[in-house]
Amino acid sequence: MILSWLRRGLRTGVLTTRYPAAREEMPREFRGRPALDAERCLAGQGCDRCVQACLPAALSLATVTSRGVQPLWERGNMPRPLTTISAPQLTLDYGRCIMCGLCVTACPADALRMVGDYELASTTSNDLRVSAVFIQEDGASGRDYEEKNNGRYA
Amino acid sequence: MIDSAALQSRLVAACGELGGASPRPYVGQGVEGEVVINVAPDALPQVVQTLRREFRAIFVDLFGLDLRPEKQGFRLTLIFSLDEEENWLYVHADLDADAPQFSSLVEALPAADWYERVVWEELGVTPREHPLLAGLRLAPDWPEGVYPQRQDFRWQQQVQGVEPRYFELAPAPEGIVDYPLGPVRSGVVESGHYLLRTAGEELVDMRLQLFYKHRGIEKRAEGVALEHLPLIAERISGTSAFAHSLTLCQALERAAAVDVPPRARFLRTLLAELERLYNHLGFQADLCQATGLAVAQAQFDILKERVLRLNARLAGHRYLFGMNVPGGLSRDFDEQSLQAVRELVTVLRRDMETLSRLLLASASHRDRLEGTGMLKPEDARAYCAVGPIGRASGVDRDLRRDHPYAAYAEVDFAVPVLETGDAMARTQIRLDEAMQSLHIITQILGSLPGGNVYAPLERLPAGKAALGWAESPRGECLHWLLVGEDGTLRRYRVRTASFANWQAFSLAIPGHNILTDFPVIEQSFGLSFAGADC
Repeated sequence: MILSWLRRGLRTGVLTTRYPAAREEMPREFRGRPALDAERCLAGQGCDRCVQACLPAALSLATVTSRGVQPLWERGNMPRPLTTISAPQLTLDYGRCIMCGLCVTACPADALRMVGDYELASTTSNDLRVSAVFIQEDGASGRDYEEKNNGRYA
Repeated sequence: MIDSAALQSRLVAACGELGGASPRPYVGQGVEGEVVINVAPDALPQVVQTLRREFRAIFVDLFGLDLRPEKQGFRLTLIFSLDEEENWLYVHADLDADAPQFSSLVEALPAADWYERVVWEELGVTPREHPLLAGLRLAPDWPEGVYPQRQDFRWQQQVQGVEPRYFELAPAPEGIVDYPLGPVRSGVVESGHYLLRTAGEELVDMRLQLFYKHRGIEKRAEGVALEHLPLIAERISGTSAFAHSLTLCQALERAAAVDVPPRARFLRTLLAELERLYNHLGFQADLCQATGLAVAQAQFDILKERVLRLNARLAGHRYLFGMNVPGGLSRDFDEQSLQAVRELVTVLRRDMETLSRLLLASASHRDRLEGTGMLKPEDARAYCAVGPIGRASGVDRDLRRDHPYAAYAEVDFAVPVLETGDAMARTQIRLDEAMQSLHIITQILGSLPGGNVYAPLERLPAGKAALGWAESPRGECLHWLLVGEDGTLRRYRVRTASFANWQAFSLAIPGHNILTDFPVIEQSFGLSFAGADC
């Protein structure tokens, strides 16, 4: 009987993959993690659908305020008080995320999508957070968000 | 299915003189296929005996409900399965709001032991004359008098720990050695602590300390919107995620009286069987590891991995998370994916037949299993063992056949049952069941209806209650839910297969087993720690 098992084992050959030396391809439908495309995101226009859809509160919206840098003297040298800019900030915390994908379904602008990335380990919990600030200034918006490594989280 | 009203009057007639049983209206009005009787709390033991003797009612759950907001005190609910009538029986006992108590059922119904301790610990309802009233699921430093299942306790509430109360075993007598095992052990098993009492080589007794994984899932689900609930149910036990989300969704669908589209019912059956397959294959692999059959272990693990990869392709998740939504499925499968299932089924059928034949002919494997860890049929019945463990000890029950759900009424399958109750029987049952799963999947693929896979649910009215059930790979799991004022859950009750079976596990230890049999016995039960401890 031991011989039968041995023959069976030898016939099967080596199936162990070469990961991590060679990357494992995931099926197209695989839900790795949600990735945020800040260019499409409507959080700057008051949308909070994904935040509403997130049970573990991995997605959160906050308002960041900053003293805007304004020239003190303009328009005929009249003094003007410093203005405060407030901007919505969307934070995605992979440490809380359960990769359910409900935010992707909820997003009206296709700004969130599930990517096949499964390597999520990081050395600090701060590295698990990404956030985008939506600054509204004269109709243009600035964002300080970028996906690292072309959509692969590192 | 028989007339529920007629059944109810028969039950009331049989139990009436024992304690004023009456079909009174109640909070949490049930749905079709559920019968309710009310009894006096002190008459419970006699009523339970009558129900078991005359109606062959099988105990499945016991839990309490805090109805003080309705000025009704507490309510104890026992759920029985009436398999022949395809009905569920609720026995309600209304308890006093200030000093809730009832006569313990442990003598009439040994299986009620742990359930009563949970009710005592988490709801503050006292089962009088309970043989060992001690905490079960909550942490040892949980303060007395804080009852998480009461309505005035919120899941966000911070609880200040007190001096931990540990259960101390009397010191072992001369010649007896207590051998501790766990909670942290080699391998990737979950945390559970065993105290194995040995006399020489022989195992004479065991004490079990589980419940290191209590997450308060029932409490967490309260107040959660219905569309989020499957996320919680899936996390009760990862290896039964699909069965649990299916159970929950079916409870919600019954409460809303929504008919799930046929295609969704068939695909749910397909996915539930894929879950059973990878569990049963993984079970054989783990058991081969326990008996030291390394090649066989690798062979079964390869097959398990193939099923998991198929799951990832179908559902986007190896453990089928995110598939079930109340009202159907979150996605449909294209013909290509179904073809992948077909191809894998062919491979699995061929390989499983070969491996089963080799395994059953391996003397070293059989030798460790035969006569090991006997769970006698009478013990299995007394402790209401469920699933493959019950079926290996002569309990001929399977929810797929006895209370058909999804598309199980429309497919043909056999329910293997054995009487021997040893580790070999538990292995054999799972080998046979895995083959039956392939048989079911083939039929589903051959008769898959077209159409939609989702029917939206309307908002549920407050006070609506329903039971959901499914035969998970480890046995029957039941979810009972009560809808609250704002359409969210007010009370969520989860009875998992492992919770029911862990009590029976202890009975398989004493008698003719030696210490080195323990890993084999443990593996042959294949119970889930997290699954018992939501």
